[in-house]
Amino acid sequence: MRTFQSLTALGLLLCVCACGAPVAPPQMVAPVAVAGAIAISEPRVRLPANGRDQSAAYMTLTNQGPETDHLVQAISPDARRLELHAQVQSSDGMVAMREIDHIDIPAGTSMALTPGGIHIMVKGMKPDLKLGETMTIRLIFASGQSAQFQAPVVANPVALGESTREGPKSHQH
Amino acid sequence: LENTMFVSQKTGVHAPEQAGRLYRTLWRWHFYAGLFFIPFIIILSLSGATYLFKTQIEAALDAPFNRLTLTAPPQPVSLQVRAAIEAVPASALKSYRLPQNNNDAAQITVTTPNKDIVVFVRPDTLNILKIVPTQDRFMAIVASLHGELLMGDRGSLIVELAASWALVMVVTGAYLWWPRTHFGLAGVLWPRLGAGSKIMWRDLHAVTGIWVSGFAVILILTGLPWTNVWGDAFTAVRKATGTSAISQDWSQSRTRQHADMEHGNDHNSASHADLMASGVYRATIDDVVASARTARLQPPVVIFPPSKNKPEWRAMSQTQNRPLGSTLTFDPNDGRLIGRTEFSGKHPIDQVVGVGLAVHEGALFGVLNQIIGLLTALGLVLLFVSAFLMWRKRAPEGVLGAPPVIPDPRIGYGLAAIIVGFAVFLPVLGMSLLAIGVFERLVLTQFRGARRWLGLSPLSEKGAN
Repeated sequence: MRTFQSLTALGLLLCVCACGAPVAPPQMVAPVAVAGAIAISEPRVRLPANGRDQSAAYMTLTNQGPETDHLVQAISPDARRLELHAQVQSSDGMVAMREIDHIDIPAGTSMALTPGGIHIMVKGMKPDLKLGETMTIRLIFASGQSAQFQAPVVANPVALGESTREGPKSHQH
Repeated sequence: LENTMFVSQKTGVHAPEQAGRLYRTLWRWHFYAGLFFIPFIIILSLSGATYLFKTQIEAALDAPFNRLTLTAPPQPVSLQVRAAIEAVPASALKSYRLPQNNNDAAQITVTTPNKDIVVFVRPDTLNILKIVPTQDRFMAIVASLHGELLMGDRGSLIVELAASWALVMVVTGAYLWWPRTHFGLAGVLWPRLGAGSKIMWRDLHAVTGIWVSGFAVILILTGLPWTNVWGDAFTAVRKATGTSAISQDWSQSRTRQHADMEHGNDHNSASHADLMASGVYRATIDDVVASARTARLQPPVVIFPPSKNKPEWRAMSQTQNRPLGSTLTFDPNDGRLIGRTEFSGKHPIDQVVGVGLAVHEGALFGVLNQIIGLLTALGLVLLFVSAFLMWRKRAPEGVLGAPPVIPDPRIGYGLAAIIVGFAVFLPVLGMSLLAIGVFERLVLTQFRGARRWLGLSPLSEKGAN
């Protein structure tokens, strides 16, 4: 009887502990490309403001492998040059945008490339890319692996409403 | 029945008379409270039992829109949001829920002048799968039924009143249950099912009551913070005693960050300032959603754009298991993470309340929590069925069938103190007591027939009801 009671108590305790545990967080978006252990998901290129050809590409890099990998280069046939950039805070507290030579992606982590952080700067973007179209990007990693994918062009919050590049419908030939 | 059981008790000479008076007084309280509030408590029990399974029910209801077979990579979130806004005239983004699986439809809430509307968007084709006002969703209806009887603030007051009186029923019921006989534990901890229907229903009522009462009290107490009167009073007391929620003051660090940014711009290359102005580094929902996804918060995770009241982007874990919840805030300009509120960082009182609310919703410790909540709700329904049957069996023709009136309904100071204590702790209970007292004195004194039918004393005596 005592054994039964302690077993019941143990079972209840286990249930209390186990059932209250965290559940799976929302899943990452399915990758558009994989380079070795690095999955690339939700890529996007910001539509430049009117008359400009500089912009930024953002995406999420997930390292599914056991070792840190490094993004070392990004290239695109749709732009003159892609640069890896980061907002760096210097010792005097100033924040500046600097080109960096690689981006670390530690094992088992997801890194969101976003404004205000690490991102890929696009220089000399092809002028006729419009909202809803895609830009080809290839990422090259220190592991020697690389992957190419299509990054959709997304709206620019500042240019919204003033741009003639807004979308295919408003585009005039 | 209970009276005869009581009379057989062997105690002092004077005490039984006084105790008997107390017994009958409490019996009458128990009866009238049940009579008025049983219908509401049945509604609360059934709607609450349903709400316990919110996660599972919503998963089943949303199943047609989840785990879709996508034919192309999902479109950027900003385009999904644009599709949702275009699907509802004169709407703006209110919130975006992170899909649990990467092939679930996006659930995007847009706001219109009249109401909020959830738009289900297929992430690959941007097709609109479903448009439903937030308030018309099944669990929202159940929540409104449970919290306000579908009647807004007025209903909320009735719910609070019923909950307060339910507490009175638990306490008086426990007094009535207290064993005074030598029957042993039968009829006390388990029912005597074979001793005739009268005893069976009495036992089912008393035994179920005592098993359920502890859980019912927990449900009532943990639900109080949601009520209007008690909840507001609670907030006011906390404000007065300086135990209010710690306001997470992110503005200071944000201001400093902005100053840094501007400072940096001044001294940086012209092209950087130019790019800042060009919107290339201004965060959109795409960026905040991507950042929030990597934070791996407990679902459901909802993203809110900056608003007048909350000027930052927010990613909020709305998990019912509140101790696991957290909220991230992102800079409204560049979308960087600027704040993180964890449960452990909250005021201890908020943590206690949060754990209580999680228990109430059956969300703190998984299936066991849900089962306990469900059994409590079903136990409450059984209490009311058995109470109703006992009452109808006992009630004579032509009158309500209240427990017999007490010739000398004086109550002791102790009981009076308890009543005052309850009335202060549960303000709507106190107010309803006053209202009943006034009603009885001003109105019911005019109608002898009504008094007789209700089972009130021929004379209007204090404490008789």
